[in-house]
Amino acid sequence: MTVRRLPAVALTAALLVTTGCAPGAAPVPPAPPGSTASAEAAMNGLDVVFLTTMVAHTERTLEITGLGRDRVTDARLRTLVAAIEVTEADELATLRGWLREAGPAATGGGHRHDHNHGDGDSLARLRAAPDGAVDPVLRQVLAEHQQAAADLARSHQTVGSSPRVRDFARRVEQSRTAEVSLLSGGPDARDEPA
Amino acid sequence: MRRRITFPLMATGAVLSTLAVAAPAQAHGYVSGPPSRQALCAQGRVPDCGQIKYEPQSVEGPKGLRNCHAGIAHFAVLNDDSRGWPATSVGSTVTFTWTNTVLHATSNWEYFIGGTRVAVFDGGGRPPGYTVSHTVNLGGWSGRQKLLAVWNIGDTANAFYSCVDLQIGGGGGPSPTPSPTPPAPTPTPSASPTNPPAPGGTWTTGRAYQVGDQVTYGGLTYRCRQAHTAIPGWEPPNVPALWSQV
Repeated sequence: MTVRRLPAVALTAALLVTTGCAPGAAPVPPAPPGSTASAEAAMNGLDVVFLTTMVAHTERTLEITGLGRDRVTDARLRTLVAAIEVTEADELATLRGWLREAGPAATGGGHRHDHNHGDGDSLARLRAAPDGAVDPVLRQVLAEHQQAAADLARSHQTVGSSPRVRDFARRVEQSRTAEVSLLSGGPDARDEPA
Repeated sequence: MRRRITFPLMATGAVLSTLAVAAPAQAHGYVSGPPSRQALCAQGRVPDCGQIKYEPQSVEGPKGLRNCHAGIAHFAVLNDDSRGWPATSVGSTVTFTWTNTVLHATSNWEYFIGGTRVAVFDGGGRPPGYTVSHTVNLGGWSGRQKLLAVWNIGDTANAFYSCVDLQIGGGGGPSPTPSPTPPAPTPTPSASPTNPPAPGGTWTTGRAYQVGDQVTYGGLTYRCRQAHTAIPGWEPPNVPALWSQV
């Protein structure tokens, strides 16, 4: 990421808008015909903001699981990480589809950020963890990350308008909360005879 | 609790010495509760707000501004007091919640009514969570008030601005408009099958499933595609990555 250093006098709002906050960085494929109007009617702006934030959050989840997946030693943890990875990869495709349906009015003005979700250090910690010592780092990094998603999803459920987005937020809150419990060594599953 | 913390000299020095703006902007957030003007626009409770509807988190400008729109022309509607912004009825103690969509090091959060700073909360230079709450004592204020909330970023010259219209206490002023829409009832997933259970039984949270295991859920049968422990939110119809319907 490049940082532009500008004199104070140049910090006008217009400049911020054009250089600091340029909209429309991500090309958005056209929505399927006929779906835009109903989707826009169903989603409010906060739904769009929530989905956009969740896309970035999920991209980060996949970075974390990608870094940890092949290095963890505990079999149960490896299973959990793999399940998180496949479910969130599916969710990411769904969320991007919903944002496409929302149309250019919703996504064109949005902002795209692939960084600065407050936990860049945690990726570095994960990378730096020596072989054989990855498990506790991954448990902590992923638990903190998923807890943030649960918090975000909980707060969205009272302000969103789209039933399917609210339902998604409910499932995010439930699943991430349960994942945090599993990651923290909470009540764990016992293999039961079939 | 009313806090009057002197703005740290160190932070002031940082602002003066490193006037920097990042491209793209590094942080985004707005006051979601009680709903700020941009939140009301985004929820559709105040119509015809323009582009702010889709980016209530983007009211960003240089630190030190005291308006609702950060001086951004296409967000000017936020600074228009004649738009009939509904005010949220509150008591003398109010908890403000920020929803942050991009997280970055925080200098502090400030709250103003008129020219008076009524509260400040130190951010410690750390990134906040996706949601941040502050409890502010507005005991000295009553009636309809326009509160300005400011999130001062720690390592850029910028801040984020949210105006919140409040009806404080039982004092005079215009009648308050009802506060935010209550959440819809949460649908409860049904775990009870209507058919006799298939081999493997009913889907059960806390159970570890292996590839090939079959369960019933909501009267349908599913086969496990990926080993996992079942948790709430991962009901078979909701996670095609884990279960395929048989």
